[in-house]
Amino acid sequence: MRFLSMHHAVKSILVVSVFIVLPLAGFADETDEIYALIEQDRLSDAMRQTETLLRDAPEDPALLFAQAVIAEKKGSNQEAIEIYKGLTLSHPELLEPFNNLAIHYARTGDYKAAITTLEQAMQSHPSIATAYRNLTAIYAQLASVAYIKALNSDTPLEPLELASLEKLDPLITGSSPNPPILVASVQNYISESLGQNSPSEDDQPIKEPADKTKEISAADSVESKPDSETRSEPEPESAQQKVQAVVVESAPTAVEIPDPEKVKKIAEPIPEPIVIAAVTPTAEAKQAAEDIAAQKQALINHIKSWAEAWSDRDVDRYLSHYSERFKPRDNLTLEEWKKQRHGRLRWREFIIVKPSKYNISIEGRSATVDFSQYYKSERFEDTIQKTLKFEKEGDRWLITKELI
Amino acid sequence: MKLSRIIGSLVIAFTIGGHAVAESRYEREVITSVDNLKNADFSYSLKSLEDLVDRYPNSKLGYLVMGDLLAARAGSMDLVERYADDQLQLAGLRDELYYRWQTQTGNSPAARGLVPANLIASAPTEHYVLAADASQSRLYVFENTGTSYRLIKDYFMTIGKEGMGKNKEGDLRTPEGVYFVTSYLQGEGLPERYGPGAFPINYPNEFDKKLNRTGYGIWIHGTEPENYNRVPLASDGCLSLSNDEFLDIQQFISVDGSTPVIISSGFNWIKPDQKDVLSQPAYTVLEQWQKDWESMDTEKFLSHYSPGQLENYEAFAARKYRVNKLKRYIEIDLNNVSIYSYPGIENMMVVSFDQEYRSNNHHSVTQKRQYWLRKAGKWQIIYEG
Repeated sequence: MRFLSMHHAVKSILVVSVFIVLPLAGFADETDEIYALIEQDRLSDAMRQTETLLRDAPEDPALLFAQAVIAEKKGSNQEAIEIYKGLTLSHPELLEPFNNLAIHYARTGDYKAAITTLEQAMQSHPSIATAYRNLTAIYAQLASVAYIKALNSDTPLEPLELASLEKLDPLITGSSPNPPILVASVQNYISESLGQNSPSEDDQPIKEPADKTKEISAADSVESKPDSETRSEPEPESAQQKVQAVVVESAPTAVEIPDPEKVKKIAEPIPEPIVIAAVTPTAEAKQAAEDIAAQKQALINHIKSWAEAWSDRDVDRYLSHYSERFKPRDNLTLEEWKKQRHGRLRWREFIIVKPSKYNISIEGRSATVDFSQYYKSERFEDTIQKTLKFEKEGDRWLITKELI
Repeated sequence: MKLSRIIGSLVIAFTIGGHAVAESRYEREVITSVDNLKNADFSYSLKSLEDLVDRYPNSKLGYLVMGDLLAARAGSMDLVERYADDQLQLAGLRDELYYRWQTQTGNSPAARGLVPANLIASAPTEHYVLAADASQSRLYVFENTGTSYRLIKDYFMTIGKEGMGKNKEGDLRTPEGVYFVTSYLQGEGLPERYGPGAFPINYPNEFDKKLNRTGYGIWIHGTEPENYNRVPLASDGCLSLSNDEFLDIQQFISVDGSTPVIISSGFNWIKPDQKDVLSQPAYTVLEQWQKDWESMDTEKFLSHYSPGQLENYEAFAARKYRVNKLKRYIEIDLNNVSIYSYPGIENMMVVSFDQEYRSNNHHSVTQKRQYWLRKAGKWQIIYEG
């Protein structure tokens, strides 16, 4: 290979750390003082002040965060890391500790840990994760267009699928977890720019009127694909109306109207809390809920059958649960991985795999299932938390990624 | 590893620097766009690539780097694989970027002032020598300064799909050797894929024919309209340039046999002041041949010819003995001498000159070409015509 390895490339990228030093909720005025001291470089004073306040509120995240920032500035990186780690566990809803912790990992060259940490931060905020996924999906689409032109590729451009959010983030709004997410299929302008390389109209799973193509909104996606057979979830009457309804209804029943003084001091990424009132489900929503329940059952059945095939050491049946697009870990190709699985499954005298405690989220034709996996063989026994990612191919869910 | 390829563009950006020598505006723009990546300003880098493909809509390389940049931003480093229907095309573009970058960053030997050791001497009629280095995918134009060579221009070039070492018709290889441009073919009379025109060269030359090499129609030509240029290995054996550059190189090419094209798998590049070390022995050999002919000592003269290699040596020797008997004096003048050592063959050189022959009963001017091969320390002519 002529180009230098990634290792060198990454090493040469300067890790620029921009610490987020906006105070978190809590001892707002006091943390202000602490940050004022930090700004004046009076680190010892800042530290003393923080420690004094922590005596009264040892769990306060804003104070702990400030303590970590001071430790960092004083060069006590290990101490800062420990505090950040603690905060990611006790307050997974705060992005800042994840972010700063990731910087520490990156500095020591542990890019994997840094990536994992930042991904965790995203996972704890489904809305941010979705927005980020949408952003990267658009970049990937633009990249695809460029590649098709670079390589005269006959591979058709896949339609850009962007996830539209239907409800406000429960972490911030306090509503029920796992908000249903509506997938909006967007026929992007870039496929037009492809000209002759554009896949033919017939290849497009979803047709949309030209004047709608540049709009990426929940409302648009609902209007523009009423006849689509590919969609797995029925649409609510109008996502946009619904979101509006939620916001309107939320105001009078809000449990907590935040003190405007305090709101100002809340960390920037966390918007003003809004408490959402219960919305009476419409008939359509009820249908949607039933449909999702059916999808969830299908996923659970798939995992059970997958675990059975594994337990039976029936490699072919086991592998049939995976998509051809499955991405194995450790940079293995699908073929290499399949070979490896053949070896690993057959060599065991017995295997027992039992999945349980499923946590399922479905986004259109993608799904993620977290579950607890009990594994026992003649050599080994454990229970781990596993995540399987699925894509729906035809009407079958197939595994595309496996994470531990 | 796929990742390293994508990062490759970025790595280039970090190591870029030094002086660029090539005149190619396109290449400079491509490499500048890659150079912009080093500032890690995504938007600016993207803008610069968009401008590039705007100006050169058939720049496959521009689109590839743009795709890499966007894919890296999207975190989908292996996205390119989905569209790489033809892995060779993808690898070819990566190679092209590598070669172009090498040149633009001053890493090519020519940029450091070196010249191919094969250029020993050129005739005053040979104003320019084309030197094609396959290991760099580069076609160089050297000006003959009389005593040495000066780099005038260089172009990214494409050679045969199967690389170098043409042997058989249809083997999709580019011949390695010393050739001369023979003619010009108008683009209007050619299929579109040759671009604005073509300069055929004299493959198979005398040496190729001796080795029974087959094939024909090795040209220097342009590119089909859908590509700005082809990837490094993409012709049927010809040297292909971008159309811009084909039009540019025309000014350096004559079709009267006075434009040598030396094609090598990879030149040995030397400092111009080391040239004498190579040219002196060559001149000495040639002068000795001339003196021995003038001396009318037929045996001595024939010792310069290889009986095993020369066709019809016996008849040739017999004629020389017969003719020399009738001579009272022989004078030989050599004009327009050019000497090129043969790429890919050790200790072989091609010598061309105008020979003025004067004797008591004969006077003639002939163009001659000789192939000299050194065996066991002795230079001998293996072909003369």
